[in-house]
Amino acid sequence: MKSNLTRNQDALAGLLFIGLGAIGFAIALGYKFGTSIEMGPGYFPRILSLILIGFGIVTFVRGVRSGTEIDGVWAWLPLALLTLSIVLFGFLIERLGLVPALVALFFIAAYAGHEFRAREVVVLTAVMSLFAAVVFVWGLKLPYSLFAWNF
Amino acid sequence: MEILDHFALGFGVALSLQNLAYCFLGVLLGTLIGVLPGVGPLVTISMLLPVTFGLPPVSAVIMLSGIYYGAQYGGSTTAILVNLPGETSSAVTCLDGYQMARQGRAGAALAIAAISSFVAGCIGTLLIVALGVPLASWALRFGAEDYFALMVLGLVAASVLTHGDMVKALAMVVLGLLVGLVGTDVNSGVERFTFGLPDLADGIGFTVLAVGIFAISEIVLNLEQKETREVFTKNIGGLMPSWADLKTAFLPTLRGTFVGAFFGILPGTGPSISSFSSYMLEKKFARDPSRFGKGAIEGVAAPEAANNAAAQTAFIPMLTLGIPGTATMALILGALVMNGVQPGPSVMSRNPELFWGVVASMLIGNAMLVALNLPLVGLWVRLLSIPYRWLFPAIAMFCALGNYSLNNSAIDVYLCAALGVLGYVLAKLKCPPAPLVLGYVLGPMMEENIRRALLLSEGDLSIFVRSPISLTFLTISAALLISMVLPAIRRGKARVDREEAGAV
Amino acid sequence: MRIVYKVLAGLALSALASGAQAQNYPDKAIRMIVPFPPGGGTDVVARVIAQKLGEATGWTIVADNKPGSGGSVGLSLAGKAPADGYTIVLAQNANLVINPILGKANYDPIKDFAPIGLTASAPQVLVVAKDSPLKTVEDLLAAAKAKGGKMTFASPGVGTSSHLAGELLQQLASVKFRHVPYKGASQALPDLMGGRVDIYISSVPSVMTQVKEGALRPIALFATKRDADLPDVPTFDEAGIKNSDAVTWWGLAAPAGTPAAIVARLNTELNRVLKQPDTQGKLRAAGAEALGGTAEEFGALIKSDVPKWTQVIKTADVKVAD
Repeated sequence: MKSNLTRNQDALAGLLFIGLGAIGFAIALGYKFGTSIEMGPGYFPRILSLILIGFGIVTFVRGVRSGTEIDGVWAWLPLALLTLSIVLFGFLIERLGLVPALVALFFIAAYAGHEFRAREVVVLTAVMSLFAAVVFVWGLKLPYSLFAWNF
Repeated sequence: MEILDHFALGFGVALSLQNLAYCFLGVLLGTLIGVLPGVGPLVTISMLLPVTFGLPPVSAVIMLSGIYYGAQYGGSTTAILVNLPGETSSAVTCLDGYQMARQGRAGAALAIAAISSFVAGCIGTLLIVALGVPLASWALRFGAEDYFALMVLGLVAASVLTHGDMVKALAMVVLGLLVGLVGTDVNSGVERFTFGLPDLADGIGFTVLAVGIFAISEIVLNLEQKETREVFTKNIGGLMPSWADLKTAFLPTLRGTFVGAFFGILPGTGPSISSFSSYMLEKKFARDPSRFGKGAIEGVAAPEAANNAAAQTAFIPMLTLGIPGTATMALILGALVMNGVQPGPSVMSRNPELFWGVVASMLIGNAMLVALNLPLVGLWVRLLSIPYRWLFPAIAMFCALGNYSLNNSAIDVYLCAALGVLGYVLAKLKCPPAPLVLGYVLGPMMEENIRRALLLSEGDLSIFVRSPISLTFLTISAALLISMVLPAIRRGKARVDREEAGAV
Repeated sequence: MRIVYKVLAGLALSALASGAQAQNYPDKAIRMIVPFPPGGGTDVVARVIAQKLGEATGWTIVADNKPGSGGSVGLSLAGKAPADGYTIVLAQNANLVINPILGKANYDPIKDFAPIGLTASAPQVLVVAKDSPLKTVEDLLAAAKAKGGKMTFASPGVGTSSHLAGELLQQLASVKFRHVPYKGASQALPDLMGGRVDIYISSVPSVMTQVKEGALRPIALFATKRDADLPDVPTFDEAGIKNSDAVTWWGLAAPAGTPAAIVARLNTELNRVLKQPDTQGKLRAAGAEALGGTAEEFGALIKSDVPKWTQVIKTADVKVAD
């Protein structure tokens, strides 16, 4: 049980904290540290990064000792699809306009679910696109094109 | 009774057909945009500002204020229903409100949010009237060292946000503090952790972080199970809170109101600090703190009361000193000035019709909001019976579109998606998200103020104990720390003793 | 209707992807980039101009807020936009001129933009709390010298126009302040009123309320002439500190390479709108004074501002990156 690090909840959390702390510290090396009385822009980031690394080490060690595993499975595929759908929305709204961006978002996001029924997704996309157009563009007067071609 | 005459004057103004209509329009719009994540009162008020030029000043301010405090009502709706904070101040409402919804108590949660908001809104309005001027001059005494000490108290209290692993919670606070530092450093102007992107120079937006960490990761967690499982229980309890619920929520609502009123008066602290603080206070006061985070009704009532009270009392420094605490207040201040009204300590005597008219309209507006929101509860709850496979892409749409609308910038959308990934990973590793968000809120203010305090005192550290306000906060923090550490040490010792005994 | 229009506009846009004709300009909506969030001073100026230009010409002008990094984000987008006259930007000296000098922007104020016309300006003012002993410029300078560099000077942020106005004053008057930067006015004003900082420099509109109420006392303006709202307040120039004007100005600009005929057309319409009393009144209410003039005059202002502020920033050693 202790050997399986890839499922060890706290060991992974510890590694994540250590990693983020290390990145933070490395970047903050580029900012002036100053002194405790005259703190530079690098003072807080570096101290905080070190504290984060410290907490990370403690969490890691406790994880290795207890061997508590994560609950359930990692939902990598839904995570990737959902993230992709949102990123693609951001990419498309400025280039093709709101409606194509929403079509992409709904089709990809819906695919992340357990069952994908194409007809339902078409209806859902149509209804929600209309809703978004009415509320955001017509109602709130946000300056978005419904369709565009900017490449 | 002079005050009765004033109120008579105020209600005379506010109850005119025209002003009632503008008040209703304002609170209706406020509720609507409060429900939509991203789109907030700031955008809406600035869009409507040109329209108000044609109106009498009183009507203009009545409507714009209605949008502002109305948004605080609507903000809790999506937080409770789908873990999507609609306004910055309602991130805390996610913690227990969403859990209540999953237990079939969405109706009770929504209703208690509206009721506690109403109570807090009314008390906050009365505070403006009764103590506006003295409170405002009291707020002027808060210097950088006092703000710093207040933030320290907030961080120490953050430990009560945890259930379970204290070390991981503290790590999350520190991570939040680091995330809060992204952007331009106030004291030196240096851009930190921006990776050269000018879009990050103003930091990571609260909505971007909260939506990513709460809403997106929650969707993925729900999609994890292979079998089709409904996220929300089918047996939805009563739409309205029970008598027992109301009794439980009564004192938390009052305490939340006063916590919120306190932070509302301090310029620059923002509504999210007030809701966090009241939540932590309730957990500290609770007989059984373990209920928090699992659908405790106090965890909805107190922060919702706090953010509404803060929204009302934020008018105090704006009206009596002309100091806008938030960007939205700056906008309302601008509207007043453009309409020829000069805020200041004498605003009550110089523009009595405006001042008392707006105050009376706030009481009317809060009543309208509760009348508007309680019947909506049934409608909102019915949304939860929509199959999740339709609901979650729609939530994703609100996340994406809401974040895009913040700055009309795709970078915010990408960032939110990335934070969603981080949020999911952290959730799987049982790292609590609330301490991270609190660290993010407190971090920049803490750093900014300690450095400013030392700059102004020329490096003299004794400034933190010489200021009575700062000394008070630091003493409470120390007492709180000791009260937490001592039992932990005792427990730890007891455990060691037990283990030793077991080993024998 | 709007949706249908948008669809048609989208189709038209794809058909005419490039190369608009100056003679039938404009045949679609013009996007005016506003490099600040809704609600700020720049946003108000932009919306007044967009609305008035639209009313006067019948064109559709869409104000598009692209905030971030003190305006650098919006300016950068505008500089890179197609130079077809359908993207214009309401620039401010702080973002067009000063941000590139500070290294906070990746555009060149002269090479990347075609100036259209100066639009409005607002002076900066130095204020003190009502119970401060300082009353005149002489008081201020004498006190600053007596305090030997310990007089505290609050500004709304590092590298803002107000901060640089303070640096300019220190250089011209040979005094030294201790700079205390804030994030806008919300915490700076309480510190000034509470006596924790000595002086504050800010644009006039953001302290007007307190000045009128008597909580703050204006000492002098960083301007070439007195302000209509503060007729009793002298300029630093009058007090003997020459070349001390540090106004905030706003001007319309287009990406470099925008056809000269389109720039000229926009300049004509802008000047016409700026002469309307209603436009002037609305700008006045926001604390700004309507200006105007030719595109060349605006270009010359930018060209003279660049060396001026480069010098101030270099002498004061203002750095936002290290």
